[in-house]
Amino acid sequence: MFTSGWIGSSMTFNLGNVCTETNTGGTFYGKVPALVSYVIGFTARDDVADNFCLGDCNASNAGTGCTAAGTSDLCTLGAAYIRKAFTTRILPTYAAFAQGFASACGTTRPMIWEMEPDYFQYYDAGQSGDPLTGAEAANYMSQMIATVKQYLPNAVFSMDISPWEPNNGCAGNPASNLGWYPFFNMSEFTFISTSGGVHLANSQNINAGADTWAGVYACSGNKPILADTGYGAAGASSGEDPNWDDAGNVNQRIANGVISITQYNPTASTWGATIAAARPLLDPVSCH
Amino acid sequence: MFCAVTCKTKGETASVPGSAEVPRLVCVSAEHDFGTVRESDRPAYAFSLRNAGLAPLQINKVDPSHSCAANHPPQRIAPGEDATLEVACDTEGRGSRLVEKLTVHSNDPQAPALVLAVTARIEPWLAFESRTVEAKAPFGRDDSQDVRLTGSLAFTAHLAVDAVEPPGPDVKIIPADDQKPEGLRIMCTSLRVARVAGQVRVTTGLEKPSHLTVLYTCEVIGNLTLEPTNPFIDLRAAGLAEVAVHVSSSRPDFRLEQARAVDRPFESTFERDPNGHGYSVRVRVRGDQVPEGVRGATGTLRLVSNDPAEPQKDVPLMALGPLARIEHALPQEESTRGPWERPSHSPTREVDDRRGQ
Repeated sequence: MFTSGWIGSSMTFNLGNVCTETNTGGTFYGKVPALVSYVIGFTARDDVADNFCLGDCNASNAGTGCTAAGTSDLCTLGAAYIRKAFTTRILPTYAAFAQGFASACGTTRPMIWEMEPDYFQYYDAGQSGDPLTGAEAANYMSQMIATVKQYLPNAVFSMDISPWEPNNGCAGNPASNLGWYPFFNMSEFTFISTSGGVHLANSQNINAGADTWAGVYACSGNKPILADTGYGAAGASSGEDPNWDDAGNVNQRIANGVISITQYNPTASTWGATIAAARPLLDPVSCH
Repeated sequence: MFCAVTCKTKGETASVPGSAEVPRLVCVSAEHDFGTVRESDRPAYAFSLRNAGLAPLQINKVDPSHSCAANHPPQRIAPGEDATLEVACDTEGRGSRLVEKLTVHSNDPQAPALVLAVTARIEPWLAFESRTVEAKAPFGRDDSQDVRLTGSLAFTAHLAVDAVEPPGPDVKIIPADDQKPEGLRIMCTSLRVARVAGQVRVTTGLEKPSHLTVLYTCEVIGNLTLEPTNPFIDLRAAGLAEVAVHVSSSRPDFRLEQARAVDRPFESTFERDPNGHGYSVRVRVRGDQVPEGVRGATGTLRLVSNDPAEPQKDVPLMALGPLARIEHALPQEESTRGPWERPSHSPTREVDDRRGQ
């Protein structure tokens, strides 16, 4: 697989190149596209009509034409935006991309949709506006997935790991914590995936927070993990992370549930050799 | 935490160590809580600003927020002088809480961007008492859930169903009585085992709000349990390119009659689980049915059983990896090739060509 594009930068389908490149004769023929579906994040940047101009929480990237640019972000008003724009902007964008991929790629080849990076932020108590309830978050997610599957029965889905979610997303600890994954219909997801931020190859912890690779694997119901690594705020590349090239590190992460690693634009001249050297040393994945 | 400069009590003189004749914007308080307001109210508050510096303070602009904006902000504050900055907020359609931040841009070299924060709790004129309705029942039984109106217009509104998307549950209007306003009864029928999520949109008969929406989830619970629910096969492991799916049922008379991989390149076998109740279904990938160079496949495992709720259940399958090097996932052939050996024609370079954001 390879991460081939971000869905949502436009409300109309603009990723036909993914199909061109992976179709027969294409540069990446045979590889499985993994698409980061960031429709909420993208479309919230420039909803000028409703005066939503929400940048990422750690980047000033509200859209053009916004009079409120720079003062509100997804952490604050993301939930309000979802409620307001779900049927008018979010679902239509999902439908547009699903139809676009169905037309350009067909409906039989596998395709992974990594759903809504940082989705937990809309439920998090840090969502100071009026956060989604767990039931709302799960309902919206199911509707987004159903919309995609209506046009793309070949799509499989990955749920975002927001590594600051308490207790790895499980309920409890403290007892008042209702968890995150228990709200969702996890049979809709084949994988879980990280997104953004620097994720650690050489640690049991995903990043500087308390959540661990093994912990989110267990709490999600043993969903295999797609470790999307190597970039930081606003999608800026942090380059190839040599820790993820180390077979010893990777084997420890495989034992924690990781089945795939994505590096952001690794060094082109050496990447093939790097992979070739590491691959024979990797342990098999045991899924159960 | 919201105040980008030191907050001072009004009239207090601020000093800036090491500063020459520069302006300095200070605030009495950079936060204000309106308390509880009614939806459609337009609460306003005057923030007190002071130029505690020694040079004229220029306010270049005030960035509005989603719901709040400054009314005629002062453009210039002389040294030692006070001024007010009035902020007014829209509350219509804002949900139950207002949390807004505005940014004051000035020529204060120490803090050129002062953030002002306002909060409020909004009491809506009309809303549903819950944003979501979740009905859940075993197969064969229907379930319904009610949700009533709330707010000061609750007894004035007259609901009519505008749309149910996607169609599924039967939605009826519950009439008002002496005690309770109108509401909705969302009835989920157990036609098939599934969890369906959607929304019901109603008209209210009022000018504002003219429409309301409530999210629904209808879940019909079956008897079968699968572990894992979404079988995944790692194709790198040539000799292990298979997954075991445990199928069990809450019914003691459960009998699995077929477990068939519908799509190439998958194949399957099944047997009674020797360690307990239920069945073990093994799904494999046939390498000889995979086009050269293809690195992934999806398919369907179809289970046929005597289960009355799900006599035929389709399970999604997913395989990933450098599939072309697997000749055939049979044990005798696995031993002839190392698990990580790659054919010379396989691509070795994987590219992450991330775009966007």
